[in-house]
Order: sequence, then C-alpha cells, then structure tokens
Amino acid sequence: MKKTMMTLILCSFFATPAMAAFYDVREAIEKLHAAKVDALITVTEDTKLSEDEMKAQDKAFAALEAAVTTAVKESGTEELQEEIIKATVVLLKKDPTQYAGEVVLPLYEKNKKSFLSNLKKLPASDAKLVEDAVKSAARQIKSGNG
Amino acid sequence: MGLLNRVLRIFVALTLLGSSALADIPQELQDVVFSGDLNGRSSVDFRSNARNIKSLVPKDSEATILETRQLKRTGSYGLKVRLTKVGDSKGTNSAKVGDEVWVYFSQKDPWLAFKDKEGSEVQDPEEALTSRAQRDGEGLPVEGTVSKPTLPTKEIVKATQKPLPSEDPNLAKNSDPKKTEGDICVNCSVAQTTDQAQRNIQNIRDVKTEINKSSASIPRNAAAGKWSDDPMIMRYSEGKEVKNSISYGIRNKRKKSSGYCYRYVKRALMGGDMIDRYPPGGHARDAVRDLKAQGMINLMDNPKYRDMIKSPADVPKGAVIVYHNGTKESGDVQIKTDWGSNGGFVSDFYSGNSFLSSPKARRYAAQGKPYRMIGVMIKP
Repeated sequence: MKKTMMTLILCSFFATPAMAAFYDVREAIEKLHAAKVDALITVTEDTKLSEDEMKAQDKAFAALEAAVTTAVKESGTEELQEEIIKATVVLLKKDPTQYAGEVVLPLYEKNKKSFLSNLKKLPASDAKLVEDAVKSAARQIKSGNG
Repeated sequence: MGLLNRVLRIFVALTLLGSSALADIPQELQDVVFSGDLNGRSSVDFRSNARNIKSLVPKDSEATILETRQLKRTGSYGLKVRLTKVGDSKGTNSAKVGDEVWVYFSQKDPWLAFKDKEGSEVQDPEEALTSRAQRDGEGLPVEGTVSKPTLPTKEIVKATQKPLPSEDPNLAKNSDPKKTEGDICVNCSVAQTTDQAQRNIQNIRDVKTEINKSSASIPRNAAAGKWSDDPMIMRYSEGKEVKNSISYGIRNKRKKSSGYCYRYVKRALMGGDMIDRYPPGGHARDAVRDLKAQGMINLMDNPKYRDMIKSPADVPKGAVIVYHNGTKESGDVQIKTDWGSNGGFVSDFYSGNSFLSSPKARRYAAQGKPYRMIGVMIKP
C-alpha cells in the first residue's frame, strides 16, 4: 500500500508540469476561439472604429499575443501553432496596419523552419500574407522603417 | 658653451621626434598563416556570385602578402598572396605552392594570422592592413559594385511616383453624374464685353482683385478652426508644398502597411518640394532630428502650440506627426491630410485614424508604454 502511494505521489509529481503545459495550451486555444477574430470588422481607409469595435480588436490581439507566448514557452504545441496562424491570417486581412505580423514574430524567431513549413498548409496567398508581415516586422526591428 | 648647448638641444629634439614618429608606424605585414580553409580568387571580387574562385587554400597554409585592398562596400580587406606552404587537403581543387590568389579578410571573423618581417605576430592586423591598403591604393571599387550606396535625389523621387489616374479632370469635378461636361463650368472665362469702356473697367476690377489677393497675408480656411488666426500655420498648411506633399503621399500609398512609414513620408515630402535632401534616418523616431536639419520646426517644442495640440485631431493640416514611446521601437510617422477630424493620415498607407488609434498603440498603452506625439513638424 505504501509503495503504491509512493508511486502515485512520484507519478503526480512528474506529471504536474506536463499537465500544466497541456492546460495552458488548451486555455490559449480556447481564448483564441473566444476572441472571435472572424467576427471582427474589416478596417478600410475610411473606417472610424467605435469603442466596442476597438475593444473586440484589442481582445483578439491580446488573445493572439497570449497564445504566441504559450507556443514559444511550451513544446509540442502544433495544434496551437495552427490556430495562431489561422487567426493571424484573418487579422492581417482585417487590419491594414498589419500588427498581427509583429505579434507572431516571437514564434517565427523561435523556429523559422517550423513556422514557414506550417504556412505551407495555407493557400498560397494567405501564406504569403503571413510571411510578408512577419518578415517586415523582423526587418523593422533590425533596420527600422525608413 | 652656448654652441654645445644648442647642438645638444637639437640632438635631443631630433631623437624625440624620430622615436615618436617610429612609434606610429604600423608593423610591416609580411606573411600570413591560414587558420581555416579559404577560397583563393583570381580577382578582388568577393561577392557570392562572383565566378572567380581559382582554388581552395586549406588550413595551415602560409603565404607572403603581395597587395592589399580595403573594400569600400564592407570595410573588410582583400589580400593578394603568394603561397609558400600549402596545408593538408583532400580536395582536388587545392592551391599549390607559388600560386598567387586573392583571399578575404574580415576583422570580425579573420581565419588569418599575420606576421611581420621579423616573423613575430602582428599585434593589430587591421591597422597594418589599413596602412598597407592605403599605400597600395585604398578602396579600389570592385568591378560591378557600387562603392557607396546613395540616397535618392528629388528628381528620382518625383520620377518614380505612380502615374495619375486616367480620369478626365473636367468630369472629375462634376459631382452630379446626370450633368454632361458642357453643363459644368470648368475654368470658364467670362465672355468679353464688346464695349471698350466696359472692358477697361473690367480690367481695372480684375487688377484690383489680384492686388487684394496678393496682399492678403493670411490664407483663409473656415475648417482651420483655432489655427485660422495663426499666419505661420495658415501659410504652411494652405501652401502649395503641403498640397503637393499630401497629393504625392496619397498617390503613392499602399493598401496596407508595408512597414516603411518613414520611407513613404520622406518621399512625399521630397515629392512635394517640402524638403530638398533625402533624410538619412532609418527609424521614424529620427524624423524630428532629420526634418529639423532641413528647416522644419517642431511645434511641440513651443509651449503655446503644445497646449493647443492634445491629440492628432488638433494637429494642423499637412504637419508631419512623429510618434514614439521612449523604447527601442522605431516609432511611427504620418502626414495629416486635412484640418481637424476632416482628414486622415498618410504614410505608407492611408488611414482615417491616427497611429494612436491603431491596435499597436492601444496595446502598448495598455502595457504602460504609451506612444506619444514627440514631433509635429511644419516648415515656417
């Protein structure tokens, strides 16, 4: 009985970080879904955003940023990365400032090859949109915007 | 005694002069030892696509330096060497003793060690190389390369702008699609009266109108609001440079941000004859410094104007707004296209909202690093 208890305690001790990481990833995905990026308004040249529209936009970018932080921190986050890229495509299409490129930059910098191979699952135009935005954000940090 | 003293003084002075001059002479380069495999090239062209690789000079090879060139483009060096010893190599393309090849030397990543004529290691190879490169003809431009990048001139900027839309300018002024070109009056002139006396009176009236126009010191615009009584602002905002800069910016904007806001603003200002030289700064935050250097002033430096400008909507038409948040970020820059909240903001793309309303600025504000207007630049 004692042995079984010890084994259980040891197992739970080692499993806790893995379980925490799993829950972090699930939470990040759920937050991204809750942000409803598809429902955001598409901003054009003449769009004047209302308070509510700004709040919805802020929520989406905050969820994307949190998801990227989790994906950078944890390993084995393929599903989360796919969700991040999907949300990024939508945000880039709806926001002419292309801020989403800057938000996902840490994920691109963590593993460029993996990030670019994930883009291959997207339609070519969407993949190019994300790649351009991310590379532009990286270039701005390195060499500026002049 | 006096003569002996004078001779002694001259001798001491010459000795001191000679020793200080000798101390400044860099060590003379003689031999070089390869601490890695390097390409041996037939010419001083080290670009990746240059097809001039003769052989591979393997690690532990030794050579005598024949010639050095400092490369203007990179600041690194090209060394022409004659090989005196060739290290072990399994490759077929290995160099042979006696070969004369050009090799690349970068201070950051050297792969070469230098010896002087006495065989001792050169303490500062870059100094010795610079000295020799200067003697041998520093910075001979590599064929096919530009030795120094040049900034675009005003003529280039104007020549590269997008063509105007091919819309009939007369019809463009007609807001009512039901009216024909004949119904709208574009640049119409008043029919000349036949009577000479009446024509003279009309001419006098025309001259009077023109005189009144030119003597009016402050251009008027009802939309200018609180700025309408400020002659300096009104002259700037209603001037043709502002009109042309905004027009250039709007004509050349993109649909979405390309991450080159400052580049597009620079070009718009040059294209509109607001400035004459291409500003050198790489970051939007440099715009305040760059534009001041070309005669523009920052309204935010003046307490009177700072009190008047609380948000981008308060900024006068045509002013260049520079945003930064005091971090390492590049910042942002936009040109205001109209008075008050009528107009938008143009940089590499056009937006009805200022940068401070963008998702990025809002996100940074929420994180306690808010962007602020550090410059509202106009040309007095």
